Amino acid sequence: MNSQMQASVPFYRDVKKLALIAQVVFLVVVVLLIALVINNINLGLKKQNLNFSFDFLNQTAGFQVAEGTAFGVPYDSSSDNYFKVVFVGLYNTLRVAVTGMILATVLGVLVGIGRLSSNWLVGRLALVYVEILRNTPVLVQLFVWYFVVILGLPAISKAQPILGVYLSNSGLATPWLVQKPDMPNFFPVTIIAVLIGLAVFAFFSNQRARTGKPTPAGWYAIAAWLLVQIIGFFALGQPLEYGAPVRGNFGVTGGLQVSPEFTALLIGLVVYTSSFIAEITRAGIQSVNKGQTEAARALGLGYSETLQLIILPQALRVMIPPLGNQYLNLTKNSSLAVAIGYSDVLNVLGTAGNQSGQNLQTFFIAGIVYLILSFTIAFLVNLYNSATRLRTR
Amino acid sequence: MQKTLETPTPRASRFQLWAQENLFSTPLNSVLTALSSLLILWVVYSLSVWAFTQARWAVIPANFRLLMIGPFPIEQIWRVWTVLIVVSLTAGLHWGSAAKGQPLVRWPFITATLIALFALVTQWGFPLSILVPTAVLAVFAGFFFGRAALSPRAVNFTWLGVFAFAMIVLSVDFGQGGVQTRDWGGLLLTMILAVVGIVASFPLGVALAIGRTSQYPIISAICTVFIEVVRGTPLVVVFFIAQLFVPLLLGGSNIDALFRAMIGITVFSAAYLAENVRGGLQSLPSGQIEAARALGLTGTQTLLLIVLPQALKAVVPALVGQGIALFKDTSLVYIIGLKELTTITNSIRNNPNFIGTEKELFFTISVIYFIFSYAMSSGARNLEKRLNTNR
Amino acid sequence: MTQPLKDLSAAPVAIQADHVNKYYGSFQALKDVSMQVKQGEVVVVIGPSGSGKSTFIRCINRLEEHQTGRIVVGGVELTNDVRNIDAIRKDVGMVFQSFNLFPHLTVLQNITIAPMRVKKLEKAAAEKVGMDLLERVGIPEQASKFPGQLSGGQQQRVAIARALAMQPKIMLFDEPTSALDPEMIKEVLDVMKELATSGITMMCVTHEMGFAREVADRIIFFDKGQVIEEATPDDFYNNPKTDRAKLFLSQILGH
Repeated sequence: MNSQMQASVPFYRDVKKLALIAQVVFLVVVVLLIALVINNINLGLKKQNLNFSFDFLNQTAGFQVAEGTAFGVPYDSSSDNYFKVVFVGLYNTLRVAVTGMILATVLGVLVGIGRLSSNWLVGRLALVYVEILRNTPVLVQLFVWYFVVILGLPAISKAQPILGVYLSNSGLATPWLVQKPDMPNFFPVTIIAVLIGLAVFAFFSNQRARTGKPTPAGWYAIAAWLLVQIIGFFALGQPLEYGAPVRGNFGVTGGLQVSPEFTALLIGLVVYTSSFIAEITRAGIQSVNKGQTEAARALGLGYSETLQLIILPQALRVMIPPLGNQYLNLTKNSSLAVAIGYSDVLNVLGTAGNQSGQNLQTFFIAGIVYLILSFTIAFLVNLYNSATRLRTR
Repeated sequence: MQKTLETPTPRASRFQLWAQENLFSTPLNSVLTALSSLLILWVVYSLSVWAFTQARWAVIPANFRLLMIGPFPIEQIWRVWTVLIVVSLTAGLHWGSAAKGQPLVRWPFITATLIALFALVTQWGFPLSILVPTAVLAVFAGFFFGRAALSPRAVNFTWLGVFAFAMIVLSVDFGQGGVQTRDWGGLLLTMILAVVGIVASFPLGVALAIGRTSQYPIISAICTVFIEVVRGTPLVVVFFIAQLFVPLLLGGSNIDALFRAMIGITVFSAAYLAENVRGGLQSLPSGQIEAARALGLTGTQTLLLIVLPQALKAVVPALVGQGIALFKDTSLVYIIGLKELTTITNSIRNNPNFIGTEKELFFTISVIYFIFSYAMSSGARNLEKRLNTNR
Repeated sequence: MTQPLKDLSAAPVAIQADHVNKYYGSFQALKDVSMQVKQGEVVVVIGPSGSGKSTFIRCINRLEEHQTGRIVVGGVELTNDVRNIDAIRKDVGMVFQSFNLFPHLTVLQNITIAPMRVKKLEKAAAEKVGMDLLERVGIPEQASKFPGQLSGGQQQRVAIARALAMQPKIMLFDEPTSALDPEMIKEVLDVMKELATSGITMMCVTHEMGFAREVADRIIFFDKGQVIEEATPDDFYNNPKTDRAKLFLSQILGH
């Protein structure tokens, strides 16, 4: 009966059909637009006698990459292809992005706590830091770090080592545990050790939550991590050795050496991002209701217990989504490496594009690579979010 | 502070009490105070030593015109002055209309001072003795007229007119030759890119946000994909892709590089703006839409009269933050070689006559960027206050 | 507690519901609901929370969509036809639990927006209507304020005025006093009582038993998505027929 009544309604007055029509029209317009774009691009490519194929990736790249080939991706410019060189760039991007995230978080949280300090001078200082960094472009900051600070350092022949660390206009050289060339790679061991450490932390925090016994989950995790590292070290036959930088006639050898470009990019990204993380930290801590502290103190919890058990977990929940955004921004901003000549993935792809004449494809690949990185970070943040979401009705 | 006033100790001044409370309350705080003081002294000292004894400031006045307008032809400079005076007048109107019934607020003074300062360090073309006072006068004339006679809304529309006017005056040939967009540069180009980006990305961003929050799954999915793909890509890559794709897209013809950059920055900014606006749309209680529909308002009326005014008002701070980010991001067109402030600075740095002046140059443009960004954010704080007292 | 019974037997039907069913996924919110409201009748719908009474009242102007069955309002059937939905919404005013005033508009603008935009009334005429209504609900002096500056009771009175500005034939009230502080409930109920005597058709979801006894022509008791009992107020309160109604009454009156 109902359906019969409905059937007499003309389609242009039926809400259901109107909704469907609107969507189909929208979809058709979008598809047509995309078709137009593809068609025009094809026509344009034909005019320029190019074709959109990725076959060139199999050709020999034949250009040198300044860094990332020794420890990261083994690469030989005379025999390896474009496909492989992309991975060298990707390794460099990841290196600067991951290190940057960790350091920016540490620095940002410190400055953020400084903003809330009861010491007036410290608060003001943190505020000035944040305002200056947030209100100037990151690219200009990178230029300052690279052209003014790093390249303004003394030449390596004149650099004075501090505790064995050389800081000069050809970068940073520091004592480090160095991989022995003919031994198995130690890096996977570190990854496994960190994962085990995290698992131990999760297990004991869970235990603490269930039994209520005070368990120093953090210490257990660190112990587990160190233990695995050490066992791995000996199990693989001591693949690392202590190496200190030594100054020779042609610069420094030995130890861990970091290029001036990497140093400038890393410092620039860390400092810039830390100003945003500082504000996130401040907002996060302030977002926790004052009543929460009072309630915790009334229950007899001490200051550090209150901070650890009541304030931080709640502040973190507020902080994580914007923090994830900042990690994303840091990763994307690492593409500014192009401006100071660090061999990140975009830089390498740009060179590959110019050399092979396949610019369109290389930037297309660049887009895809950054999308994958972004979605991975977004996915991890979402994972954390859904795991710690407040349960409410 | 209250407490300190109620319990006056005979010998302690208010400052001493304040310092006791805010600087030396605990041993740790005293140490922090000492360390911070040392840091501040060191920074101020080294900065002063550098600024007053070492820095070669001559590079700035020598290149001031380049920094401000890039390679803009000197014989066409009247175009820039015309725009500057019209913008000064409109800015005055803007502050005047916003300051109804209030005494002269500080922004006109600050602007006038800035214009005068710029004039002091330059010696570019035309009789400055007439033009600079005209611009300063325009700010105050606008302020008093705006305060007396105009509503803020009217001025907002005036801005759109001024924008169109500026684009025409800066380029079109009126009989004695026009100006190519590739001759735009310096701070002028930075401003143009930022304004175009903000103005053009606004409608696109709002439309994307509405699409993403739409109840229709297909529309929502398409908008979501677009927004997320753009947000997942660095602006530099967007610029590169725009440089390559836009000419192919529009038939392979020779398309203005600036135009391509504008498309890139608009699309990029729109995606971020959409996410901010979406926050505002989702913060709106569903009861608002229900009430509007129950009153018989149509879907479009509900959107325009009920949903958008509230959603946009709620995200004003986020939108200004977005504007500041966009203003700073214009520096990235350096990568594709447009001659805005950062690019010009780099080319001066590479000029053999000015080797070793990067400190002076980067310091100066950082200050310029800072002034504009900071002005925007404090303007936003004022706006926020005004919006809040409205209700 | 006695009021002169209106003779509604000859009055035309204002709202007619036949075998209405509504599901949220697998949960059935309304089960075979059938009822009738005559023109000029004041019906109070009561029932425990989650019983579907609000859902039902929101189906009447299509804020919610029913899946099967028929709803006819003022002779127009509620179908997917845009024209029917618009016609019904023009005739039906609604007042919400949380007021839902538009916070960015003044009180007067809240009231005039629909007459101006939907009925295309001139601004002056709409404002005249608005001021008359504000007079009627007793707060003409608040016309140029924003909703946020008003007390809850005042806001709800503005919301009633806003709904009345479209000159509806039927008024729906969805728990209009539930979000109010106790001292403000009376001022809203007074406006509603005045409205009830004006001859307009009213359907109220409410927990205000006093109000129900005083002005309702009929009480409909909902539980678990079904109409359990329909009766005059006196019968319902003094002599409930079903066990569920007895239980409900004992729970809300028992203390």
